[in-house]
Amino acid sequence: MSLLEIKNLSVEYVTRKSIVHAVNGIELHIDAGKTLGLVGETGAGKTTTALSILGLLPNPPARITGGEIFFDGVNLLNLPDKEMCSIRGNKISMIFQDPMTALNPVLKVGDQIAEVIKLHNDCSASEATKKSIEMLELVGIRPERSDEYPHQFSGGMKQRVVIAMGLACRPELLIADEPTTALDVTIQAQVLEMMNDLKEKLNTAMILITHDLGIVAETCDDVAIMYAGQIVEYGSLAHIFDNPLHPYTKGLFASIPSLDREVERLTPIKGLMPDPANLPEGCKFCERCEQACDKCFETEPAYTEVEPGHFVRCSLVREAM
Amino acid sequence: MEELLRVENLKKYFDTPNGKLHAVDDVTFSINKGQTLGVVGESGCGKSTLGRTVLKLLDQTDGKIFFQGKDITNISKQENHALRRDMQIIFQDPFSSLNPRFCVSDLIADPLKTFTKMKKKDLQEKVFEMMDLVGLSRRYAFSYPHELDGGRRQRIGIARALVLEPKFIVCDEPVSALDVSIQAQILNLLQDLQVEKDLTYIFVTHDLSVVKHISTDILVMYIGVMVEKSKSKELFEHPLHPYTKGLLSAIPVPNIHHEKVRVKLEGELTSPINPPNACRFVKRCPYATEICRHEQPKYEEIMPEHFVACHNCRAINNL
Repeated sequence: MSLLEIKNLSVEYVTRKSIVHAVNGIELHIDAGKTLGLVGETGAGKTTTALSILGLLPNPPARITGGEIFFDGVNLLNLPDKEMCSIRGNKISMIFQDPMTALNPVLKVGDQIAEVIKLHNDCSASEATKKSIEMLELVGIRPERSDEYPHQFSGGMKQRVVIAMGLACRPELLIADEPTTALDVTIQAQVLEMMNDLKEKLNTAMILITHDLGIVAETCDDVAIMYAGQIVEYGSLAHIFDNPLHPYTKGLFASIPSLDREVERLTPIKGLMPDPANLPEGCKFCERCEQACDKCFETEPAYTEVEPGHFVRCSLVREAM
Repeated sequence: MEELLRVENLKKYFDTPNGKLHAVDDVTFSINKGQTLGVVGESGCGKSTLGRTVLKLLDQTDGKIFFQGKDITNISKQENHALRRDMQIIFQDPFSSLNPRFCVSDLIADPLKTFTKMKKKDLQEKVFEMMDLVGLSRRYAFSYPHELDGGRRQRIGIARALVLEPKFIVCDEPVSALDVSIQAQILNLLQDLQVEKDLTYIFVTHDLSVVKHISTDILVMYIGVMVEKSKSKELFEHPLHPYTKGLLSAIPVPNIHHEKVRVKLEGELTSPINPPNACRFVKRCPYATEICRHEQPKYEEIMPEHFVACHNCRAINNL
């Protein structure tokens, strides 16, 4: 059984003017100890998906309109707040995108880590402090720095603190929302390598939200490509990188300037992402798709398994099979 | 080929309470007409300051800048104003670089109003022409920046920079705030415009795959100094400086069959305030020797058109 299974989840944001369909029936599953890369552009619904797993969606304006999220066989959406609190930060935790704003500027970093440990474990303050220092050492920060404040740390160091906090209770699932976007490449390489090591050491499953396919290639086992609130393609690394089937996935690969190949001109995907408050009738990608036919504009393609473990949401691919 | 811009020993220091911050230290380069110089480095290495000092948006501390053969280092305010027609900048953040109270048409017309005495009708015609050129639909002419997405806003920034038909543009991270599919559209646009209008770019970015795609030459900076400069292809095939090697191998490659040897860089950037007389990279360098701690390395031509500032460059690369 999968550690986490999302079935047909839909989330919308209700505003005065319109209803924004942020997530439209996504299906996802992740096994214990594995890493899933969730890839998509701004506004594709990646962060909304992550927040709904943790029950952190602001309500209102957000509203879960359907679906189930099973974690260890329990539907998280039906759990009372109190039980959700004991899971959040403990069994499932999250690393936020911007380490500059994720830390409390007036608390020492050691105390901030100890807080999570005290909250979820039955232990004394001194034990929690001791454990928080162990966590700092694990992410490569000298123990004496636990009495410093966030502004005394550089960006890469702050992100290490945030990671230490996320892993403090040895979660079964870690959701990392663009953990390295705010960092420089050489620091990014250090942080990613450390996350990979820790994940293996602690056997944590991870959902890595990113827009960088390079990071996915280096860290993930499975990949889900998101577009306009839907998973358009899902498969193992080999499926997605060697045999991408959905036109959007192919378009993404063609848009990135490559380091190994010489390309005169990039081939961008034409147009822009549709307005999530006003999504097209049929396939959500139809307006930007080169191969779209009448059928694509009329009916929404089903999410089908084209080969074992490789799912695509495209009627043309399905017909070709 | 005709040389458009030459910078000699350019220095820009900022005063801070803790001492002098060496943002740009002794930078020398030249760019030929119609070419693109990519400037790469991590945040805080002085690449944006370099771009701005070259445009004289910031006053240099020392050094000389030549534009079209003319020394523009100490020109008067009036001359500087006139020079703006030929030298323009595209800013990084399309969200904060546009006046929120101007509509698209006003934003693009603004440079024209400053520099020319065009009639209102001609002005509108020119604005529409620019909008077509950068691929902005004319129906947005009277929209305000907040109504548009990042890609379209960046197109306004490009239109503003191009409307006076400059010869030289500094692109300061023009695509880093954009999604990949939009990023590719803007990069193609910049390349097309370069060919069409014979433009010269300085392309400042931290994204090495972008810089490889767009540049003819690449300059790598580290805490204010130039560490390596060569032709784009050469730099990616034969990086000579240990920092460049580390930087290149740190880029995640979107290819699962890509075998890579990672040159690990430990630690982080050191402070650019009052740097000691040593190689600035010494604390992170895996090859550091005694001389690196006492002497700043010279910037030398190690191979034809390939400049490196490293004491041990020949030994590391078996040259």
